[in-house]
Amino acid sequence: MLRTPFYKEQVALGAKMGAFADWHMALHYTQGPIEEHRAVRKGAGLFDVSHMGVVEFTGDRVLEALEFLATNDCAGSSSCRVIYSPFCAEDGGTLDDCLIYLHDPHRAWVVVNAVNREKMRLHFMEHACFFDVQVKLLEEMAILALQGPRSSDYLSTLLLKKNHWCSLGGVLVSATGYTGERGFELYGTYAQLKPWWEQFLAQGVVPCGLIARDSLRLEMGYALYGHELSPSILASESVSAWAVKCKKSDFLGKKSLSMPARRWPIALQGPRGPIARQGAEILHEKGAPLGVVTSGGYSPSLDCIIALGQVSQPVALGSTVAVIVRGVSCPMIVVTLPFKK
Amino acid sequence: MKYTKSHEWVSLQGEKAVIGITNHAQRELGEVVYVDLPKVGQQLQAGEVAAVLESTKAAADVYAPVAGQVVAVNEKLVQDSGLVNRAAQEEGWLFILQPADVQQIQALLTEEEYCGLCGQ
Repeated sequence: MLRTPFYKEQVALGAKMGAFADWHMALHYTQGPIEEHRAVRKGAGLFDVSHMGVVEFTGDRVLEALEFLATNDCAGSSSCRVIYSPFCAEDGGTLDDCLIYLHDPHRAWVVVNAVNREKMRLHFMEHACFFDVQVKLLEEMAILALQGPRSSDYLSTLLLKKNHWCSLGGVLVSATGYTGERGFELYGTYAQLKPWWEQFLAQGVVPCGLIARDSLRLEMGYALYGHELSPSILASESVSAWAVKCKKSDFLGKKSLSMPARRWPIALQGPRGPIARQGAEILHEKGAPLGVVTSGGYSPSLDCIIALGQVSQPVALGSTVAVIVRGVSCPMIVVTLPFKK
Repeated sequence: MKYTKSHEWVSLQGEKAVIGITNHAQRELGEVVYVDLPKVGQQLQAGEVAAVLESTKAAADVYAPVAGQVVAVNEKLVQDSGLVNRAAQEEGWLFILQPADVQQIQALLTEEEYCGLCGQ
């Protein structure tokens, strides 16, 4: 099992460790995932997300290569803007969803999900040669995410606009995150980031684990690869459809992603009760099959159960559907995203 | 108090058996956000799923350690599921059974045997 550079620090803080995609990760710390979730919504929390991979592209035609591989428009990346994009296969199935950082016209970083590190490295290498671009996984990179409405109390530089990045003493800082709160992600070596880790915690930022990370992104309706996105889910039929720009000139998967949708993402909310998790069937109130839950859980901010799913026909907002949890039919209402408004 | 391999505890109080999950189990489970309790009057077989605890991580089954009829459930848990974490072996009890055969409880694990299983 792989360990991030901050493994020892996390264990020393009392983290409950668990397995996530070949990595030994902190699931939560001593306060528990619900308190951590609340800390991020009200104050500031710190996540070690060094398990994600940073793939570096170098060459003359880096932007061209990215425009071909990503479904989203990458042109905006040239002004220090971070681009979120699904990356799809020819058939439109999603290979990963990533962040793109263009350092200059000849160098870019694509941040990939931990579970897809090797898969995406090989995928990029396969296509990069057409554009004369080199691809390398940066093994020494560590990544921290400082998230919460008070995060700028702790990282005070910064008139950094949302979704933009800058360099701060050799560390790349971007005003990005996957929690729905204001926040920053920091990229550097362990040696560079360790003083930040220590300083944030010393000042009272709450260390947070993967369970809180999941409940925070779920409340926002953000995709988790392997749930809302996968090789059998077209990015154009997912919660990330907004990042598929079919008007772009040719990109990988364009034809399949441009077809009329046959499935739709759905957001469901229900009272505190049995939790609808991935795979739970979604039925019409009257019993006809509609689709399946892709993620579900308890929402600490709303004190209710929320779920994301995929359905084979559009369902009206406000209507009630039935989600089957352990054989019992649980009514849930169709709502808009984000759950936490 | 007696214990099961599946991390339930049983406390015989008069003729009734109070049942909950162990402190070890609640720690492994994580924060409990919802408790699915059996119905009062329900008949349970030994080893049957009696309750389900939903945590942030997963749903965990709680088994009836012995056969019997459910005579009470812990209503406090409906509003305060966290009680299971805070006081798993005290006020966080789950349900009370009228055992079909009290002798079956004697056959369960002692505290020492249970702790041995958990490597404590």
